[in-house]
Amino acid sequence: MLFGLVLAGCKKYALAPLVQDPAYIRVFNNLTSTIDALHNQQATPFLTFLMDPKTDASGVPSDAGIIGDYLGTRQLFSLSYPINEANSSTGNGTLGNFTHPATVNLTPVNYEYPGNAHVQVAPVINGLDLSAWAQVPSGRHRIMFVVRPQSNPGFKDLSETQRSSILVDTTVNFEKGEVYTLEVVSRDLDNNKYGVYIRQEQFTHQAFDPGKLYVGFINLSGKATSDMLHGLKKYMGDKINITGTYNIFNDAASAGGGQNGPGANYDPYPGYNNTVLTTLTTKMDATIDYQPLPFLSQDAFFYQGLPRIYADITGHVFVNPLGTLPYFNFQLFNADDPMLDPFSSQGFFINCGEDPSIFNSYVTSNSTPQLNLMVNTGKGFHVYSTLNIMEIVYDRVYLMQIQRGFNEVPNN
Amino acid sequence: MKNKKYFLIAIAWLLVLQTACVKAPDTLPQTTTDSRPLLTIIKNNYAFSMFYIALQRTGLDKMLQGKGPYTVLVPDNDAFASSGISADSLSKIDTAALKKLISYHIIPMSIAYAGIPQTIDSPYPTLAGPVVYFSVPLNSASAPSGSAITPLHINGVKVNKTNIAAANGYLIALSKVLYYPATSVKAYLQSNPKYSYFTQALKQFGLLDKLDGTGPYVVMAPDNDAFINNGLDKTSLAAIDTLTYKKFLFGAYILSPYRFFLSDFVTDAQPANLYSPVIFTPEYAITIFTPYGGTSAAYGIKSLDYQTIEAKLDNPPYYGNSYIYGPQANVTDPDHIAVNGVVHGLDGMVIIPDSVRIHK
Repeated sequence: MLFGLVLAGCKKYALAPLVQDPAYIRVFNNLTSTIDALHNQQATPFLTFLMDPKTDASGVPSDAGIIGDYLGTRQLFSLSYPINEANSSTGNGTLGNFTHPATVNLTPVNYEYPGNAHVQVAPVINGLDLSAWAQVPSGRHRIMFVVRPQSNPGFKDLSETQRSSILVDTTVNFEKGEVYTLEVVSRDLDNNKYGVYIRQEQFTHQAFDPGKLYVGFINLSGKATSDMLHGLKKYMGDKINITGTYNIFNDAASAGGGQNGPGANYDPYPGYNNTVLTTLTTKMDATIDYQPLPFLSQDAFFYQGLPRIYADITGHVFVNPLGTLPYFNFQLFNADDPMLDPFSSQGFFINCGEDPSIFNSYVTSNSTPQLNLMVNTGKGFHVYSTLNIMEIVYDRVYLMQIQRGFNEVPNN
Repeated sequence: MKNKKYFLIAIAWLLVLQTACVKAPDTLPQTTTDSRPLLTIIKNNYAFSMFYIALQRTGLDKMLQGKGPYTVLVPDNDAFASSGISADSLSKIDTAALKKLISYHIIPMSIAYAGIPQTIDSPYPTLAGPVVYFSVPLNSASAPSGSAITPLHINGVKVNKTNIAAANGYLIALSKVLYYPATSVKAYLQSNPKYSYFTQALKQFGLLDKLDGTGPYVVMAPDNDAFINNGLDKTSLAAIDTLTYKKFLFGAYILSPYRFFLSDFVTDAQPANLYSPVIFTPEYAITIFTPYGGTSAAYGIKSLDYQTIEAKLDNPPYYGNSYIYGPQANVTDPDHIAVNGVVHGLDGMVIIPDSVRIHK
């Protein structure tokens, strides 16, 4: 009788129904600039993602099957699982405007969909951790992106005027079991043209060598704007040559002693010393060509039993500021302007050695987190190989890193 | 027995706890809404007395007692004063023109501040026909600390208060009376004697007629004093022709396709870099300089190779000054709206004729 009384007072939550024949999607907002007085017909870069919207007589959406709200511009680094699992309400300055302090955002923001939305996510496919991709019903869907204010009310509570700023309205067909990445891009900012770039990921079907790391580059920039053509804003170019170097820390040379004080010395890994990796000649490609890179054995990431250190992102470390972990450096040359030095102020290089757990909290350019993913597995640190997708948008590189070997229990 | 007593107490507690588990939903406090119509609120507020008189004269007052919804953009008495309209001059305005002007201040929608798109220059319809433009500041952190942020500008005019609720809509209190939009930027320039020299110059250079088009155009108009200060009176102006001077002598004052108000530049949506040129044309670069935290703007024309010039501080003939055609001019008479654009008045000429003389 006691038990019955206790049960009668408690509430049971119903299980959400499983998605039938799911496809898997991940949505990013790649709008990197906001508007100003001279560009007031462009979109402010804060959106709501709608799948299967319900519209009223004048075509203004009021509700949808799936709402990905508060979709802010993506962060520079996205991992396999949504980093902002807990609700994000303070904005991080990503490549902020240095003449003004970065805005503190006290309203909700989600840097990707699903991000911190509570939806069912994709399973492990082909050994890849796909927990940042949401399950959605497959088939034809209408998708819309609506420009919304950065404020507290959810999409359904916005005024009709606010809900009618439709930026993208299109129909897509998702096939069962396939993985899609959708990104809202600006195709021609000076003429206020936007679109959604959809990539059906092939990595679920490709065979990857467990002894290698993979990196793929893709150019998702729109047309160069007048500001970029006149050198007021950086632009990586329409055709980009990419070379890479794998820097291995030389412990002996760096320790020095006597006249050689401590200092960072690296040796290039054989075969990866300013090696040409690829040339991007087109933009918004449907598929990515992944380059295999060496994946070193586990002991290369440790020194005297302890994990090696990441590059310093704070700018306060002067001894070995690029860390002691092996790190990749990529140089991106504008193929149309071969004189441009990637290390000049107009050039582009990225050092891939930062700590992924704090990376997005800093305003940075010219660096990404480590491509070798070091995880504390409970038994110690294990380094996983990864699939790294570098998406170039105008003047920055977005890294999307997917953990591989996720379905295997590490032995060390 | 004692055990039984404790058992009964335990059951009693469980019953209490069980009822405590089930929680009734909280009732939200009732938001107080004003049950008075818009007209009553305007009538009862002495600060809106001039606007009320105008409503009565034009017969628009009855409408504001009706079902609505309306949002009325109300200039208070101080706003009439800063727009140069006294009670006397208000009574002299022809009723038809007054009706047009007042209808331009009434929007047939209910607009709460939170429902305004967070962008600049969102158009809203008015009863008069032409639209009004609402600008919400994009970045509240861009104001210098300690200064108040104006939450809304309408056609460049500062709004004093929003969300004055009524049963049939809202009032928004303005700090100035809105200008009724001219039929075109060309019509505005022709109708304003302050810019008669500029209008004549545009006509001579064949640039005036296109300002009747769709645009939208922003015209930076130097006033007559600017011409006289540069030695151009009516007769010498008539002698300037496109054979002797490059066309952009006066073409550089026309920006297209743009539509912005001074407040868009100065507070609501400042460009990222305050010091660089903002518009490039094949012949020159335009700068609109708004000092951070300031309330003014200066318009100027730089040479396209401004970076080379600015790097050579000691070299003749420019000594690092890339404004090689003439000095910057201040925007002193902003926000004259037309259906196809906006005219901002300048206090100087930014291109001195001799600097663009075509040497044969």
